[in-house]
Amino acid sequence: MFHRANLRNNSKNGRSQVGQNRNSKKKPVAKLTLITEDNESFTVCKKVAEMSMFFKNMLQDTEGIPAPFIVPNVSGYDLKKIIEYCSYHCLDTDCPNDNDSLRSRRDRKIGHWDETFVRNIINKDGDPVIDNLVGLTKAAYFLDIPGLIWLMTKSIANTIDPKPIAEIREIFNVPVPSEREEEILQR
Amino acid sequence: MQTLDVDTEGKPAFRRRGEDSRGDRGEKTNSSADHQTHGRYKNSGKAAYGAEGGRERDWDCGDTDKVHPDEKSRHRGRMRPKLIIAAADAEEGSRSNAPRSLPNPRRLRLPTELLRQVFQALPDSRDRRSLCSDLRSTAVVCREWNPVASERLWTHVVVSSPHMVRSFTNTIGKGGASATKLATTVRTLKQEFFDWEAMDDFAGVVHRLEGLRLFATYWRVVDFPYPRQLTLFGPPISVVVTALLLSCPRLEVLSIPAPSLTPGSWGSDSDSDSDLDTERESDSDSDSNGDVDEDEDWDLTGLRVAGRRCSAGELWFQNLLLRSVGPLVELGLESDDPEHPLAVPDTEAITLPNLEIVEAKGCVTSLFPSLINIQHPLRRLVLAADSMLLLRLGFGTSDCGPMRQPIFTSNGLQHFLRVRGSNLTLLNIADNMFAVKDLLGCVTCIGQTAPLLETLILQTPRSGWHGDSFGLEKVAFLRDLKRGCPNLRHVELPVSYYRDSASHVSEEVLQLLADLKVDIYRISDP
Repeated sequence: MFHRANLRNNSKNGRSQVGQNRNSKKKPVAKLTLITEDNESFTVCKKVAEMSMFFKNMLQDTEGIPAPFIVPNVSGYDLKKIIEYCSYHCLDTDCPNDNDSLRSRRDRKIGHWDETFVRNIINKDGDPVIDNLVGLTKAAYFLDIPGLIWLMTKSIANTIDPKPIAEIREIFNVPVPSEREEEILQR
Repeated sequence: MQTLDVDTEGKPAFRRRGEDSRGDRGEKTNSSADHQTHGRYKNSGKAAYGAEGGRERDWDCGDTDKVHPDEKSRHRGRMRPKLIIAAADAEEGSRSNAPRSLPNPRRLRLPTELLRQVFQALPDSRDRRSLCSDLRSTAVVCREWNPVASERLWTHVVVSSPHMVRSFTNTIGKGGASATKLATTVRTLKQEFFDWEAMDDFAGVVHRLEGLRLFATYWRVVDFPYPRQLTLFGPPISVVVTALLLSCPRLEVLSIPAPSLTPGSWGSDSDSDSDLDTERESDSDSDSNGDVDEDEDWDLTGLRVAGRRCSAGELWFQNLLLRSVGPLVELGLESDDPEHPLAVPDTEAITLPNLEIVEAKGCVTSLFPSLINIQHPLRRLVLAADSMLLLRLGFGTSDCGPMRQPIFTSNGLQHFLRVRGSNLTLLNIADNMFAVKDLLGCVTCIGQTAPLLETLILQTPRSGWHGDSFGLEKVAFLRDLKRGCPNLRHVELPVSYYRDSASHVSEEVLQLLADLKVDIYRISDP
């Protein structure tokens, strides 16, 4: 605030040119403050936030950086992971973040960084915490980040991949259906 | 001020209830979910933004890049506090006020759209090894997963036994909304066996497959009692094809065995005679009309016929098909019987102005002299004679063999490439009969005429390129070729991979291939 006041003073004194130069030189990177449903606060660059189509549209609609923005339905843990992902991938041209290119590259494999990223969403036994994966997937869906949605759904599929039905039910805490219902499903 | 309960998975409860209730309502609901979500988030976002002024003092703004130190312990269990959102929109408010029973808090649910994406990542029937085991498991996990997994299971269907085709036929043939939905879900259907009775039943339900894009049937015969009739595919396939053409307007690719429809080759089956008559009638009708293609909306652009011609002059089913389906983009012909090469009359080639992909394998003849007259340059050309059979193809009347039949020559191919080869991305001339000198001539010509080429298959057991080792001299031509075709990635050399092993590849060759960024089958990646 003090700095801005100085600039205003400068321009008043007929040194607007210098003021503008200084302004463009020291122009701070546009940042967005996000507050999660559990009152965690994060500050992110506009470029990082724009990985999320939700924020991108919002920033376009509001024509500028709004004051601290409440992100409902996303926890601090999820948003931290999302920011970690977006910070890495916002400069990564190899990793598509739109649905069309993701669809056209269906046989894409999970990259090295992404693999580590998913591996870090684990518990102390080294197993992926499926509820963390699911929570993060939903948060990514909420914030509309196609690249992260792809990564998360792929990781969940990998969790399901070689497992028998009973184990899948156990992982997702799906109650075992009644015999009759099971019969209907089998059919 | 409205209070919105957020359950343990971070989704508002009303959303979850909505998903439960619409369970298997299908694509329409699901595809709009994204849109709705977006709109709602925008609203709630703005509402929250508007409300933050009053709560500004509750948190530190600006420089809290780091997460709260105890966030991990707080969120591992993923228990979320209640969120109070001011001015949540009226509809949400009224729903969240309604009494509801909380579901099992530990149960993990995903919205249908996300569930669909998860299942997309599981191997379907196109992956032969998996046999859809994962998808079939997920389909029986619970009622919420069932419709989504079924949708994926039924999109690409491979039936490989009479039992499977019968259960497929029974399922979609029994009527009702769910059967209709499953039937319209089918996009590609491949049959990898041939069974007369099963096919007969199948023909009766074909009309339900309205969304079908690709139909392919092969003949890996299962328990067929009369070996002599193995290749005499008669009325059933023609009935199926007719039904497909009549009732599947979106069909794009049709891959069928060559039908044989004459009473002589069919034998004495009374049912088949009636089928045959229908076919003949429709053929004669089309002749009298002079134009079968009355429906301009056909999507069918690919036709593949495999098998053998049964006797001379019996090409009318193929002719009928070619005339019926409209301008083809893709044409594949395959036959392994040198006595009866599969043929399409020369006149038909002129009616294929849009042809871009031509694949001929084995004993195929007659179409190709007129290929040079097609309108556009080809994108893919396969002229491969499987199992070392004579490939009788010609690219001009001057290339005639001793029996005055056109033969496939290096000069003919080069002439064709200069005229119609500029768009080729794949060229397969495996099992050709060229001498090494002629083949290298062709390769030079390819380098000059096909700048977009990505795949080149020259594999042949007849070439003199045999040897125990691959020295630089055998791949040196690639350097020039790569200059002309910068996109070239995959090459099969003019050797027989069945005989030669790639164990004696020299380091220089591997280095050259790495430099050129070209993979050679069984050499770069043995």
